[in-house]
Amino acid sequence: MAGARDVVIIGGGHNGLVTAFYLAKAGFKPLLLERRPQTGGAAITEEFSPGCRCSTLAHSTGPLLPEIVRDMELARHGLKLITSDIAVTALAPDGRALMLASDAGRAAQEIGKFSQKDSAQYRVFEEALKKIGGVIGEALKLAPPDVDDPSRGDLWGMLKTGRSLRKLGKKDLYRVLRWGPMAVADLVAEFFETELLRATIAARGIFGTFLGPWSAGSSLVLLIRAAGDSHPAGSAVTAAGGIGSVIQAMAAAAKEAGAEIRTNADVAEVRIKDGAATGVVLAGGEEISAKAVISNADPRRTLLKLSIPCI
Amino acid sequence: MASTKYDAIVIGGGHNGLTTAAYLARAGKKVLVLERRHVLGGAAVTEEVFPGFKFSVCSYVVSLLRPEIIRDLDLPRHGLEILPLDGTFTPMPSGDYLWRVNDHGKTRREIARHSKLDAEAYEEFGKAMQAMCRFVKPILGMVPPDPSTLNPRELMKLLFIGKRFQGLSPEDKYNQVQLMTMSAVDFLDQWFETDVLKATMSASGIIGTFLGVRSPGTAYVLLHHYMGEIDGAFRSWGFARGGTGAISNAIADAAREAGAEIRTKAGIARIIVKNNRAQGVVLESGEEIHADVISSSVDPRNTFLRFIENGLLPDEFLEEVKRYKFRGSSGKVNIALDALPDFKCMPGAGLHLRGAISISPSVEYMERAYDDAKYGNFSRRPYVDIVIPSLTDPSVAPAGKHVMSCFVQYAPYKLRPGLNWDEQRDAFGNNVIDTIAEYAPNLKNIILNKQVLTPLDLEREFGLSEGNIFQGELSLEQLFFLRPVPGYAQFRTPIKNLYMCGSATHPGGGIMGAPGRLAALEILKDAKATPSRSKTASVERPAERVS
Repeated sequence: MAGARDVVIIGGGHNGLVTAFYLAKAGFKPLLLERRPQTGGAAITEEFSPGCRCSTLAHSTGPLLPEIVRDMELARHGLKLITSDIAVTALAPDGRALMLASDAGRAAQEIGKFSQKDSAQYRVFEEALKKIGGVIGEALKLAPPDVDDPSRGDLWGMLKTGRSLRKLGKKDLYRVLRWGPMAVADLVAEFFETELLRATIAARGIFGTFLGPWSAGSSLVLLIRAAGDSHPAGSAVTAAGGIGSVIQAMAAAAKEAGAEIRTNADVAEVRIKDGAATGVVLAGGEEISAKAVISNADPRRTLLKLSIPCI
Repeated sequence: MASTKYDAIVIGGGHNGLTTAAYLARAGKKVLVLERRHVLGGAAVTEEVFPGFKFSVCSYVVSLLRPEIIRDLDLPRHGLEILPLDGTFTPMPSGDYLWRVNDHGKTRREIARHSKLDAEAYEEFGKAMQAMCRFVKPILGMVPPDPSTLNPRELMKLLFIGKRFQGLSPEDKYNQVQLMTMSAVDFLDQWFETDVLKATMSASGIIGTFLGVRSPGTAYVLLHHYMGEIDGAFRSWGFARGGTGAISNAIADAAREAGAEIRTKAGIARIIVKNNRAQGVVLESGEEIHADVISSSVDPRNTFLRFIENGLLPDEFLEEVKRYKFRGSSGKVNIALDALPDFKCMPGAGLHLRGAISISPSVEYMERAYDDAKYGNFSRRPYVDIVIPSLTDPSVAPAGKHVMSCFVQYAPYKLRPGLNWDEQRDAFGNNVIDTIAEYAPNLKNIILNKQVLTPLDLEREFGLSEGNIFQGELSLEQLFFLRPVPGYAQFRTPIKNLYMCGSATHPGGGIMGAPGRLAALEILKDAKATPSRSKTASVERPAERVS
């Protein structure tokens, strides 16, 4: 297979860029193909009105893993993260507002204006979320184990997760087990009496899902989010210049490591031969052969639209 | 009488309390069962509410009664006879219907009438569910492990489950994981396209919970439902001859034969605790009765918040008891009929009336029923599960008359502000009649009498807190080693010699008897480890057991 690339990555969203970076760093020569004129996927800044630049879709960086920021040296590549002192301001219809500071102490103080009990409970909740979120965060960093035939690495990972679960102690261990399947509305009601506070925290449990706060399992969404950011309502972290700046820094890091990035490159098909991916075909007809193809697009697009085996 | 001392007192004469009593008595213990009501059975009870009409007042069908209990207690000899309940009939507003019966061929042809694909999938689904049931079933018969300890015995239990899981085929493994986490409808969507089929099947995922058919976690309850259908001892769902109370009576008979004493109209005022050890009970009448062991089959709210004096339980435990969720979501309408209902979509007194009749015409209908409940109203158009036991067991109604038992969901215990159940009872009952009459218009003309039970009635009359028919929601966070309180799922409590043996313990509600049996076995295990105090009264044994 003369002229075959090492690896082709479909999609220049942030995950594609991170993949490209780590592969390039390991000595591969990845080629990243992005359909749109700019990389970023759903993490982009665009000037939608003269002079007004907006993070078109995602507008906060969410739980960007610190080790990725470090490995990719995103700061050196121009990323400036801005963390607001105020994580969230919740507005009540009666004209009152609940301002939750990033600092738990200040947040608790503010909550005291609504309920003294909730003010005290907030610290307890925050602590628990930090502990439990930490364990879930560790599990999230592992590739999901193969339940059918776990490899030695899988078993080691599971063992490590098991150990950190145990280290939580009886009370928090049972909390993980009990909280996960619960409705987030029930969880916050166990801690707080102020409806506005309950709703503000519960919002994290439904974010981006087809669940309501009374749906079972929405607590797990909150816990998973807490894995990256233990602020009960979620920290407000943005990038200077909009979310697109994260991508620019990532793209710069990937390029520096040796990855090649092509925009306006719409993958129309993944070539498959004998059950193995052999490359991609672009919408213009250009064929690029590769030893491996990695897709950053969703499984429906990747497996049902792009993958047509040519037998 | 005051001098009588028992080895064990069982609080509550429901089917679980009676099962515990029977097992303890058979092991040679001197046992006393105390029931608050005038009749035994708890929610598994038959009462002649109107002359000649015997209602299975609360629970009305049986499927999960553990075969080992039937065998151990020799229940058929004590009068238990299960009659088959054949099929589920779902009338539809369009004038069509879906009628599944135990006969595979017939059901297949009936489903094919709606969708050929679904008829194929139905077989596959049945097989997949059987594999799941085989995995879950042994768990119903085991004492839940405590995952927070490193005790080898507990770890072995976890390992046992892990090994069984590894034994499943890859598809079954993923099915199992999906079952534990998905909504009933999402799970069924993967198999079927016929809406009425999915709606009717999903109904078993919501019974007794405050969840909708699209709420995650409801798929697991489907499995619970399926489990009964493949049980070796009794095929499928059934009625007990003489009503559901006959099951309790058979167990009570077995307990008495083994030497247990059973008293009705003996409500508990308080459990006597000294030095963190349960020593007896005080009845509402003031009478004190002493025993080495107290086992409570009533729910944890009653046991720990009503019967135990303040200050005797650890705060953390009390917190957990207080947050244990009941949230009753269903009611019951029992109707004495002059004749049989006539369904528009299938007129006449056919075999379809001998099975369950399910008012669950579409998934959207089911979800809308839940929407009402979420905001504190009873469902304007509820899910109703109807049986007419008098067709199979004529002994429950006067000749030519019938008994119709309607389980209704949703009826939220907590109505929205401004409404209360005492004022809403009639409207609730009439709404159920109106709902059924849309499919069987003659219903309103043939009603002789009706008994309407709201969740509040279930609480007041049967001691089911917040009217929850399972003594607490069967939601994932309240199952297995989390039921009823994390760390206390092994039937023991923070108070020595005080046990729990009701539906609030693993594996939960329904006429299974499993909690009662498992609790008895644990009590006997402890009794063996620490010889009865009555025999070593002068020696204060150290509280810690050496393991």
